[in-house]
Amino acid sequence: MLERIPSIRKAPDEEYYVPGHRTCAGCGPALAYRLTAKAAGPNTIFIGPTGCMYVANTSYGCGPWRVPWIHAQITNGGAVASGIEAAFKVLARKKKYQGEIPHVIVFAGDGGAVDIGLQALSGMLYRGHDVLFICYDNESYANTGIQTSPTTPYGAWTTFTPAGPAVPEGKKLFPKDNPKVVAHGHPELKYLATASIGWPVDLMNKVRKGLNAEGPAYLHIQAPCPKGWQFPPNKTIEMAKLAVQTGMFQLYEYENGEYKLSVKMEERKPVAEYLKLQKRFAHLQPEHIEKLQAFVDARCAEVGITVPAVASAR
Amino acid sequence: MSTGSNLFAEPGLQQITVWARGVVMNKDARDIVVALAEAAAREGKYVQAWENYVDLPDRVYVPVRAYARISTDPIESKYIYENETPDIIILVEETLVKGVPVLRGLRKGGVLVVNTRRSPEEILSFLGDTGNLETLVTVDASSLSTAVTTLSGAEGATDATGIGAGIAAPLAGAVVKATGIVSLENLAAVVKNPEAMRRGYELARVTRLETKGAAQEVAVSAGELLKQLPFAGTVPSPVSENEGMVTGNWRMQRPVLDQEACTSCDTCWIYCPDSCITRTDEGPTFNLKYCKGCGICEEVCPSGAISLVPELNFKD
Ligand SMILES: Cc1ncc(C[n+]2csc(CCOP(=O)(O)OP(=O)(O)O)c2C)c(N)n1
Ligand code: SF4
Ligand code: SF4
Ligand code: SF4
Ligand SMILES: [Mg+2]
Repeated sequence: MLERIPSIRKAPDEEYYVPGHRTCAGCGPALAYRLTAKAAGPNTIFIGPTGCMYVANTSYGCGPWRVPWIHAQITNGGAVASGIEAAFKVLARKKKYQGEIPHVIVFAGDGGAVDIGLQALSGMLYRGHDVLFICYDNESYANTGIQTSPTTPYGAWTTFTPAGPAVPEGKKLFPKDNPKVVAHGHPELKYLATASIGWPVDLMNKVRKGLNAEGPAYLHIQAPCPKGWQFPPNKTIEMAKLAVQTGMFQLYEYENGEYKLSVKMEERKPVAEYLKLQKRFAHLQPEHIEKLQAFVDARCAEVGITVPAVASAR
Repeated sequence: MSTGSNLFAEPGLQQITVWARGVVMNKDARDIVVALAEAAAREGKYVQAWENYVDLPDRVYVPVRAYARISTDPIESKYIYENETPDIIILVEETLVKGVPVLRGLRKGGVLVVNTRRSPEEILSFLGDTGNLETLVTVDASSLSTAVTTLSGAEGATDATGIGAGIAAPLAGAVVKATGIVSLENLAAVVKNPEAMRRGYELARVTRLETKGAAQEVAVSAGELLKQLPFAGTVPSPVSENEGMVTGNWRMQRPVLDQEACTSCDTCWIYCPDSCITRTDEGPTFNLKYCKGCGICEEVCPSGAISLVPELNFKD
């Protein structure tokens, strides 16, 4: 059993995602990787479907993981993990492997989890493999130069949703809610949570709970991407915090049949305070921002965040 | 023609290599090569301009290259991926003189153009053995125009922002002053901001150097690199650092600690995406071999104990 981490100060020193990777300066998903690896510890195998966290981390025949890591196709992270987990179980049963069964973690992008990799994820959860599937959500197909994905927010510019005279808001669709898809359709699922790099202790504990659960677990981590969202790389943490404080991203967990919110909020900030710091939203008109605010209000109400959005005093 | 390295000897060919920082200056790097190539095409030259595929997808602050070839004759080497022996090198950002082998392969009589406010002497102090370098050009292009950051145009997409709207124009102007590789009029006809281009031309400071004559180390050829690469399969895991990807030369600003102000709260430590901070009893220490200078540590510190200092203020 992995123990609860009480605070930043008490978080383990050891790094299993070491310096030396070609991710952007200020990359949110890289921080998510580091925190995940720190929480999971030495007896871990990572599966890395294609995406930034494969391509940027493994340039030129090397990688920053101190633990075993294997590449999977963007489509099949869940399937590769299923095979690894099943193999360890069989080897242990046949007494060909006596060690402690390693933690098996898929670290997939939103493309590799919510879109093109969804069926392998769903199959893995449905069959009940003891795997922690993590989606690091940078809200686009980032590695290939920022194309829209199902989690790209309404109103965001991407190279596939350019804002122009015909479609002034850029992206027209509202995002797919993958935690919801996962939670409601998989009877074997043992643990589900959302997390943010802005709350590192909460994130690491959710990784540990997902690994402690005997059976499949799903963790959806929002991880801001300075390149794709177009904000300066020193603002990554601020962006992550604002996403939660505005209700654009909601933090909760679903454990042993019990659902609970992860952070207490006195009030929400209006989404406009989040949007104005990212160039991907620079083209939005007031009516688009209103539409997005209404969507966020409804989504927050749905997950039980009842506090209103209040503009901060200037 | 003989064989070997002379196979592609093209006396009428000039290779231009531009170095910049990924994402934030990618567009300006691309614009310089495109503007110079288009201007040369107007003069009846054979031209090529492209971004270095090896540097893509570009990441925030990673050193990236864009290339042009301009020739009096049809370009025979047009399918060679990289400019291995450049004649003209342009740095869109000054800290690239530190820790990045920008002069590698430079040919005799080579020209280096740097966007900087610093003196030529200071820039030279970071370059070490300048070998074939004959002309150093310094110009404060950032004061003449504003860099344009856009993801449009990256990796082959359409770029509607126009060529040479940002700091590419004054830098291209500085190139013309030192080399006359194209005429000012033709360059003015292709850039969106000809005014900034002319200012770059006027304000560029040209320093002629004594060439040391020693040939610059030639870049390792793509064929050689291929031989060094493990083919798929399995590679060992690193233990404390991944020396295959040293990222300290991405840094334009260095985090510096004010120990008095630090409360050892570990906030900076937990948030560094590059695992570059070690917590000690005296506060955080920074791993400068890998720190990319993202500035997150400075931003999250609740006590204002970290400041970011321009990297070229340090000799080490
Ligand atoms: C089947 C398939 N289609 C397309 C690609 C090209 N591709 C490589 S990475 C990538 C983006 C992946 O997006 P995501 O999973 O969100 O990860 P990110 O790059 O955003 O980190 C794409 C489309 C591929 N590798 N495989
Ligand atoms: S594009 Fe985004 S996710 Fe990819 S390396 Fe850069 S910051 Fe990280
Ligand atoms: S600037 Fe700070 S947070 Fe960023 S890589 Fe360097 S040490 Fe880490
Ligand atoms: S965040 Fe600031 S106060 Fe806290 S350890 Fe880092 S430098 Fe010290
Ligand atoms: Mg993504």
